[in-house]
Amino acid sequence: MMRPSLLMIAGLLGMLAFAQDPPAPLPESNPETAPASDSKPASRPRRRRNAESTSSQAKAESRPTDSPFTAIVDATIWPVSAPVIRRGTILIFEGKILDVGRDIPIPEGAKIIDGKGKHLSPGFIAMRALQTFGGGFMARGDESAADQADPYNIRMQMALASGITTAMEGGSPTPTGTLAGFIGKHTYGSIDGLGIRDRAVLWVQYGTTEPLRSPFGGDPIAPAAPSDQSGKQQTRDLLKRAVEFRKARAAFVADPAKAGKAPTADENTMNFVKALDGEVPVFVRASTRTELADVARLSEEFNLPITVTDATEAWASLPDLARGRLTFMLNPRQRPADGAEPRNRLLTEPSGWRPYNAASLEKAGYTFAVQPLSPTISTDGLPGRDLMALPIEACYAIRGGASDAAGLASITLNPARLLKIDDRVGSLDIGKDADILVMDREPLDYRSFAEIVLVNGRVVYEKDKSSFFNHIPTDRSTPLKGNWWRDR
Amino acid sequence: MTLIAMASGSKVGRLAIVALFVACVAGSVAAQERMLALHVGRAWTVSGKPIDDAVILLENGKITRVGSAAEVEIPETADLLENPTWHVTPGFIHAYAAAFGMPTGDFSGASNSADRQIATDVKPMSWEVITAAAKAGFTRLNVVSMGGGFAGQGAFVHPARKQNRDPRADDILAGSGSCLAMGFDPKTSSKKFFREALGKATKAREDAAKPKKSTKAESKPESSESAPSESKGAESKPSEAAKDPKLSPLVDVLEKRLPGILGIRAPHGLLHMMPILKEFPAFRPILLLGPDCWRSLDLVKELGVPVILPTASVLRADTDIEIPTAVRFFDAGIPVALVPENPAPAFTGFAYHLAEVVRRGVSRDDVLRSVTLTPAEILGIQGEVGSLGAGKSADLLVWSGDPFAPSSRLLRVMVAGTVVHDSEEAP
Repeated sequence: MMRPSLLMIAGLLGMLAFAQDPPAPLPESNPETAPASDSKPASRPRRRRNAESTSSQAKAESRPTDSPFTAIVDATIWPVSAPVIRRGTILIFEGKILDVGRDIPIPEGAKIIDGKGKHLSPGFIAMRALQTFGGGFMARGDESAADQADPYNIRMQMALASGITTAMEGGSPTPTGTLAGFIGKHTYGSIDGLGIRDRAVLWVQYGTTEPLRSPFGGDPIAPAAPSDQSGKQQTRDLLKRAVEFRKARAAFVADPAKAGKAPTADENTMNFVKALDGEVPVFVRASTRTELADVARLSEEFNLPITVTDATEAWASLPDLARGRLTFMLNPRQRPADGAEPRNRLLTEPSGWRPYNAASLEKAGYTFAVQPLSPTISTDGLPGRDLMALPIEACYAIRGGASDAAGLASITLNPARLLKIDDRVGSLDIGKDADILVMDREPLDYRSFAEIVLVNGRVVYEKDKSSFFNHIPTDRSTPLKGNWWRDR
Repeated sequence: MTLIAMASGSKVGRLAIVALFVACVAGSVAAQERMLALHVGRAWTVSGKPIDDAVILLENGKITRVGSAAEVEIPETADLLENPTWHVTPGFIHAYAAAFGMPTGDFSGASNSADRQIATDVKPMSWEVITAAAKAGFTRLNVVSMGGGFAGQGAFVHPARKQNRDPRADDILAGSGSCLAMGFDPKTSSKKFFREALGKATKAREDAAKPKKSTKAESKPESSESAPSESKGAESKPSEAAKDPKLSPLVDVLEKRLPGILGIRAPHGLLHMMPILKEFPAFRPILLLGPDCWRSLDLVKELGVPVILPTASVLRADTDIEIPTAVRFFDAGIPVALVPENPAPAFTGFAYHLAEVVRRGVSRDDVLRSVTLTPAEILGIQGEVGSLGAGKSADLLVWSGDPFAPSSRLLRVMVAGTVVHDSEEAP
C-alpha cells in the first residue's frame, strides 16, 4: 500500500510517475453497495413491519371504516349509575356515549368492537396522581397545564394499562387555601381533549399542628402550622369574609341602585366564595377523631361542602361527622403515618385503623372515593401500593364490608362527583364522554385486565400491543407466552 | 522518495515528512493554478450515480470535471493522485452544530434574539477543535446557538488548515445568516410567545404585500442556485419589518428567504406546536428532532418539511425493542439531514454512526445524501457544496475504501481544494 502522505507529496511535486502496489480489488458488489438508480429516499420500498400478533383477546377494530360511529356489542356493561346490563351495546359518536342498553340499533358501517364475554366499565379515576401527564408542570399565567402535558410519557401508558383514564395532579393545602390541581384525561398520543380543568380544587389545611403528611404516608410535605388556633383562625376569617361577600353580592344583584358599588374581595376570599358557590370542591385533610370533628364543625358553621382526605378514624367519628356536609377520599387500609405518635391513644390502639372504615361510611350514607397508598405509578417498588393497583384498593373497601357497587363507584363515579366532573366522566351514561374499559373479567376481579381502553371514544390502549401485560393470556389456564419478552 | 519512506519509521523520518509537507503547503498557494487529478476506485457524486474508476479534476479550489476514467482524460499538466481502492465523497455538511463557543443547552424558555448574528460570536477555540470537525469529515458546519424562542441567525463555518499561530474567527467563517435558529419546549416555552411573534411577522408581511404588488412575484425563493445568505435583497424587505430587526428575520423565514430551523426535542413538543403551525401555514421551518420523535412521523409527513435528526436509535419504553428513528423517517420518504448526537464538537466516530444507519437498512446512497446534498439543500447552499460536480467547491473526502466499511479510514479532507486534515500527518 502506498502511504497517502507520500502520494500527496508526489502529487504536489508534480511527480507523475511512481511505483505502485498492485491494485486491490473493489469490495464485492452486493445489493447494498450497488449504485442506486435514484438517490432520493422516496424510492426506497417500505420494509416489512412486525406481523400482527395473534391472541384471543378483544380486537379494537374488526374492519377499517370511515363511519363516525363505534359500537361495542354483546358485552356485560357496568354503568355504575345503573344496574348491570347483560349482552348490551354501547354506541359512541364523536367521543360521547350516544346510547347504552340492549337492542340498540347500530348504524350502517359503524366500527364494531366485539364485547362477547367482556365487561365494560367506566374508566377509573385517580384523584391524586403523580406525573401521569409528564410531571413537573402547572398552569402558567393564562396557559393551561394541559399545554405542557406529555401524552407519550410512560406513566400515562402505565395508567391506561391499569384502567385509569382520568387523573388529578398537583395541589397542596394551606390555611388560607390554595386553588390548585389539574384534572386531565389520559388521551395517549394526542393533546385533543386532554385537559378538563385547571386550578380544580381548593386545598385547605385546617387545624393540624403536626407537620403535614401526605395522605399516603411518607415524609412530611409541609412544616407544622405556627399554632393550631392561628391557622384555623385564618381559614375561618376568610370564610367569614366570603360569606359577607356573598351577602353583599346578593344584595347588589337584587337591587344594584340601592347597594351602590359592586362588592370586591381579595383572591383568597374569592377562592372561598367559589367554594361556597359550589364551583370548586374543598379538600381538607383530617385523620384523627378530633380533626374529623373540627372539620365537621367547620362545614356545619359555614354550610360548606368538604371532601375529607385520610379520615383514618372516621369509623369512630360517625356522630360527629353527621353535623357536616362531608364526602371522603380515603384509603381502606391506611394507618397513621409510620413513626407518628398515635394521636388518640384511647381509640387508636394499636393503630387507629379498622378494615371496616370505608364500609361504616357507606352504611352511614356518605360518598367515598378510594385512593391507593401512593399517588405514583410504576412497575417497580412495592407492588400493590400505587396507582397500578387502584381496583385492588377498592376491593379492600369491599373486604371491609362495603358493597360491591360502592367499591366500583369509589374509583369511578364517586371521584368524578368529588372533583365535580361527573357531568363528563364516571359512569356509562348517555351524553358522557366515551371513556370505557373493555375488560376480560368483572371490573373488580383481582385477575381482571383492561384489554382495550377508550378515551373520548378513541382507542388509546390495547393490551396485546402494549409491553406491560401482553404476556399474560386472557385464558389463565394457558401458560404465559413462551419467549414473552421477545415476542412482544 | 524511497529513502524517506524507509526512514519514516523513525522519528527523524517523520519529522522530515512533516517538514516537507509544510513546504508543500506553503507552496500550494502558488501551486493552486495547477490542476489536481484524483483517479480513484469510486467517486460518490451524490447528485448522480456513483462512478467507478473515476477521475475528479480540481482547479482553483473548484471541481472542474467528474467522470469515469474512460471518459475523462487527465491533462498532462495535472498533478495526479491515484489509487484504485480509494473512494471519494463530498465533504459532510453539519446542518446544526452548537459548537465553536455556542451554548449547547436546551430549548427551554422563549426569548427573541432573532436579530443576533452568531457569526460575530463564533469562537475558533483551538486548532484541535477545528481539526476535530475536519477529522469527522465535516467540511461545512451550520453553527447555531441553541435556545427557546428565536435564538439567533446561524453562521457557516469550515475547518481550516492548522497554522503556526492561534486560530482566528476569519480562518473558519464561511458566511453569516445561514438560518434562523428557533427552539420550543412545551414545559417552559410559551405558546403565546410564538403566536404573537408569528402574528406580527405575518401582519408585517401582509402589509408589505399591499402597497407594492410587484413584491409578490419576487417572494418565490426557489432559485436553487443562490444561497439564502446572499439573497437578502433589500428592496423586497417590508418596510415595517425592516424597522424592527427582531421581526425581519422572522418575515424572511415566512417568505422562505431564510431557512428556519425549529428545535423540538420531545415528540409531544410537536403535538403542542401543531395548532400554531396550522394557524400560520407560511411557517414551515425545518424541524430538528430528538431520537424519541419517531412518534412524530405522521405529523412531519403532514407538514411536508425536512428534518434534522441524530443517528441514534431509542429503546421502546420498558422494553429492549430498538426503534431506529432515522430509519423510519428515511422509509417514509421524508428528507433527512443526519447530525451527530452531541451538538458540541465531539464528532468522533460519526462515520461509524452513519454506518450503523446503513446497517439498519437504509441504503448507502440515502445515508450519504443525508450528510451532504440534503443539508446543503435545506440550507440553500446546494449550488456550492454537497455533491461532486463541475463548478462545485472542491470540498471532498478521500477514503481508503468504502466510506461505510469499518475498515476504511478517512485519509484526507479538502476544503476548497486545500487539505485541512491528513490522516498520515495527524497524530
